[in-house]
Amino acid sequence: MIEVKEVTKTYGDVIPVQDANLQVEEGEFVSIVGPSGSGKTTLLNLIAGLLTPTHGEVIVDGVALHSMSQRDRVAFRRKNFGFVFQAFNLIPYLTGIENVEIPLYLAGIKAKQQRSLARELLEKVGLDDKGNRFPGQLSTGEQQRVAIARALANHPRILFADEPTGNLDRRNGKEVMHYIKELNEKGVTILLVTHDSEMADFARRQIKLVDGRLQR
Amino acid sequence: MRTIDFVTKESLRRGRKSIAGVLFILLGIGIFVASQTINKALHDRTKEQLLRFGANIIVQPKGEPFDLYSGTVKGEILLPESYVDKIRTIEHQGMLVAVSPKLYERFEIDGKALLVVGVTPEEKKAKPWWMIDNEVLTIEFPQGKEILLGHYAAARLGEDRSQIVLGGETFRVSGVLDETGSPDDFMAFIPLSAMQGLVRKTGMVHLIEVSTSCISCKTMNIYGVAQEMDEVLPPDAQVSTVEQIAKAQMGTLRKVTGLTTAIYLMVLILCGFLLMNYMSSAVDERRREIGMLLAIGMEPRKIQLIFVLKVMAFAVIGGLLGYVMGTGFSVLLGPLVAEAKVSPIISLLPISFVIAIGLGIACSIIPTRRISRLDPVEALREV
Repeated sequence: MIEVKEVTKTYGDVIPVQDANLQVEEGEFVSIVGPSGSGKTTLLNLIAGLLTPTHGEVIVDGVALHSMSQRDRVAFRRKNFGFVFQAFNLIPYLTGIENVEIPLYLAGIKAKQQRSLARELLEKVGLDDKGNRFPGQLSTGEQQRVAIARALANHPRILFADEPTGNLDRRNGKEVMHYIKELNEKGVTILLVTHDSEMADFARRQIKLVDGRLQR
Repeated sequence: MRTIDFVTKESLRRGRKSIAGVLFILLGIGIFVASQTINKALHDRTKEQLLRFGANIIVQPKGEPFDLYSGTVKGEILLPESYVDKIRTIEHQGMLVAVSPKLYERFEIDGKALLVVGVTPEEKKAKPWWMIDNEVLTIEFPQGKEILLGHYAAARLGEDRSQIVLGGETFRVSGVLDETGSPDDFMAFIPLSAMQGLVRKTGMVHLIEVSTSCISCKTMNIYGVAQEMDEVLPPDAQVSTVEQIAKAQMGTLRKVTGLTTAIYLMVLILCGFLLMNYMSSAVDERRREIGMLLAIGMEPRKIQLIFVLKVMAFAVIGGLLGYVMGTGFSVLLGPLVAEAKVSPIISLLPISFVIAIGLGIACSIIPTRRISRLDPVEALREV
């Protein structure tokens, strides 16, 4: 379970997130919607432990994320979280399959086993025949599917998806959302940030953020 | 995936940039190897050239001042020629290149003064640079009633002379030496025994010039050899190093070494800055990748390790190529610079690796430290 307790983030005079309170149950699919610049990504990064709140705290399964040392927080993210970014953030000099292997490598799995697991993951997103291509040789939709396969590699309990369809056309966008929904049905908690109401509808619960404040 | 894959795959995919990184190390190491190799050749050549200044130890009668300018002693006190044999009994006799006894006499030839020196074949050993018509002396030197003329001595007397009369005896001119730039140019040389007969000083010499092979060796230097000679010779003989020459020899060598070291250090510092700049750019260019890796749980230390391994790989390749290129450059072009044969120095290879790796690590400390301070969100957002 994720608990966001009175979280505020400030950058000087700018307050992208103010007094945010939120509770996400295990296995939920929550989308955070709002206009551009409303603080959606900042809130997601605070919940994922990538940013430290100025006030308040984020508790995941009873553990206050920001009271951990940086090293422990990195390890916690590695074991429990998966990330899908708008810009995919695939490593350009690695092939698709090698990109998927990264979380497996970080988990200490042997190289041979990494390869077979990564192949399985690519198969799940329908890219088993394109694993040896570099990101630049894949379409944007295919790149995002590789990124999803990478996010799933460490069997995350929570998947953070920041505008995962932002760089995709409608058809590819919906396809990606179907993969994400399937994951949720398998028990993965999903936190989705999007400004696209059609994509937000894939979630079971929607939260609106306006000027850094959560709207009920 | 393995840690090393992040290094090899990135380096191979970004071939041109990787080559630039290797080039900075190659340049530094190449110049180090070239400077050291040519430096050694210069040392060797300088030693050889300085040896041509003449002997570096003079044995003369006690109290007789040696005139460096003319290369002779003034006065009439003589030494027995047998001291030559005594000198050859010193402990470090292997360092003796030539032990050349000399007896001088000034003659008048058609109203022109000529300093004639009685010498043994050792003189030829002491002066291997002596040439006639640009070729090294091949004749047995000098023998019987023969006379060898210095360059300017022959010019003064007339180039076409085939014989010269000294003290009533006729000597055949066996050759005229090419210019040496030393007092030898103004002298003539006849066999020592002939000179002793001419001046009726059988078995006697004015001085003995000694050439040693090692001027500043660690185990034994010319001062040590001179000391040993002093110990085996009777007290009427005074052994002295040609200090001015020795100082000039050592001073020149030090200057050559200092200059090449200074040039090398400047290039090394420059290469270090270039490499550091390269590594900083690499960290900047890969901020997004670093941000993503930090976000999905890679520890900053592991990311730093990737960068350090990369610079180490550059160092090993750059060190090896730098050694090969520096040596090749020295061997091919060194003879034009050093005017001497340049040989590869194998021992520089491990030194090259040590310097290259040291340089690589030193220049990646500051850029990679930035990784640990990098905020993943900032890194992902910024690009």
